[in-house]
Amino acid sequence: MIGSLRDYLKRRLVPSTVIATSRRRGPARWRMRCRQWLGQPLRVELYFAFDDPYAAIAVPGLARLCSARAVDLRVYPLLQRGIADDPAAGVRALHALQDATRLSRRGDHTGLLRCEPVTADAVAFLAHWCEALAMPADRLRFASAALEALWCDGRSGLQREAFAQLHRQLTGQLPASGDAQGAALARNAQRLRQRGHWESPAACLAGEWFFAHERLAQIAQRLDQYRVGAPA
Amino acid sequence: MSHHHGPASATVEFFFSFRSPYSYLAAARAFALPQQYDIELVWRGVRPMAMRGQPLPLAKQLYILRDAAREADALDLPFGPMYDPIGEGVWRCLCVAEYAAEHDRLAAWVITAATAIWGRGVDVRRDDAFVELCRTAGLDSAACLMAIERSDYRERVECNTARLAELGHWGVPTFAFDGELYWGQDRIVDLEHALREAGLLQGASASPRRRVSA
Repeated sequence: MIGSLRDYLKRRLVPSTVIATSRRRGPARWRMRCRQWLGQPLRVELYFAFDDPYAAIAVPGLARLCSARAVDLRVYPLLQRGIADDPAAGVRALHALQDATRLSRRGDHTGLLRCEPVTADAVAFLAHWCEALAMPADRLRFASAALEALWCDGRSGLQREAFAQLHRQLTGQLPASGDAQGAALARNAQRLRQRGHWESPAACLAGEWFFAHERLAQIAQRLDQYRVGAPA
Repeated sequence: MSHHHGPASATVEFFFSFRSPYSYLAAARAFALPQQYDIELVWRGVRPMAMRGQPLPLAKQLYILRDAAREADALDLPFGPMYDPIGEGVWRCLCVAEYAAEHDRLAAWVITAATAIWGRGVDVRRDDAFVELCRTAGLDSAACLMAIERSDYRERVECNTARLAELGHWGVPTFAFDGELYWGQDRIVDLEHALREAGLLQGASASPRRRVSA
């Protein structure tokens, strides 16, 4: 009796309730409208990793989308992501590269030009530099440009000097020295997990998560629903 | 066991799990592909990730349910209440899929069973509900109840699961065409692009052919 009740809860009641509550957007809509009435812009948080080719679609794409709607986009670089002890991690990285190339070609882009996956260690310096930038707008500009240079520009290798030059051009500052942002980057990963996600590129809008590289249209639709004056 | 009307120029393998909501969302569009493109769609029913040692943390389970609900709404497909078929429910559906493929009722069975699981909350482990689904899909329910015990069907599912791993993939729904893998119900658009690029779009004058095999 207890076993069958537990079975019913686990197989039907709990997942069906999760589905039903996910469709209730009323409370989030009111929270977002209150925020705007108080003069605060809508905010999207985007957690991403430089070694993730999907981030090369998500960060610039979401930046364009938020800029067009005067939405505050905050980016949080990650060094750790994914599922611990995932046996498919290796093939996942290879597939992501092929799939991200196809996704990129869907738009007016030429696709990703990098043919090999990049390790998190090889581009950790970019996460440190990005995290060290104090201004959210600088972080976004640098993240977007560095990802495009890393994944979409066939001329760029992984040379620190080329990215340091990009950093100087975009922010007017020298990149942070060393790996001083380790604790802050670990906090980003912890914040991502505490808030209910595990992977890059994850966008959070009013508590709702989206894999940003493949859900840009859905995020745009949601932002339009939350705008003050938009029909309910 | 092929059920086609004339040879197709190319094959597309369709890896599907009854426990995957995204597989359910892909099913109708996948089975419609051979009507539009000169291809043979090869059915590959596989065991779910959770029944082959792939970790599925709670955050991912929740995300999948919520995202699939959004996608189902966009596709105008029923989604929720659901009943997780993991275990014997999955095996029943997979074995009957093999039987249905032999009787040219594969698409009807897959869509009927998956809609019941994900859109109506039907427990496919219950014989009464299961028999009703078989009848709805145009299958002999007594034969279906015998099919779920057939070891050769279970072996075929194991072969399909091994085939997915051999191709270097882990998730479903996945389509394999011309050496490339397309993972996700929202990647059918990319598969169709590749099919058109390969010159496999059937002309307006061509009579649609139903070609699905297992």
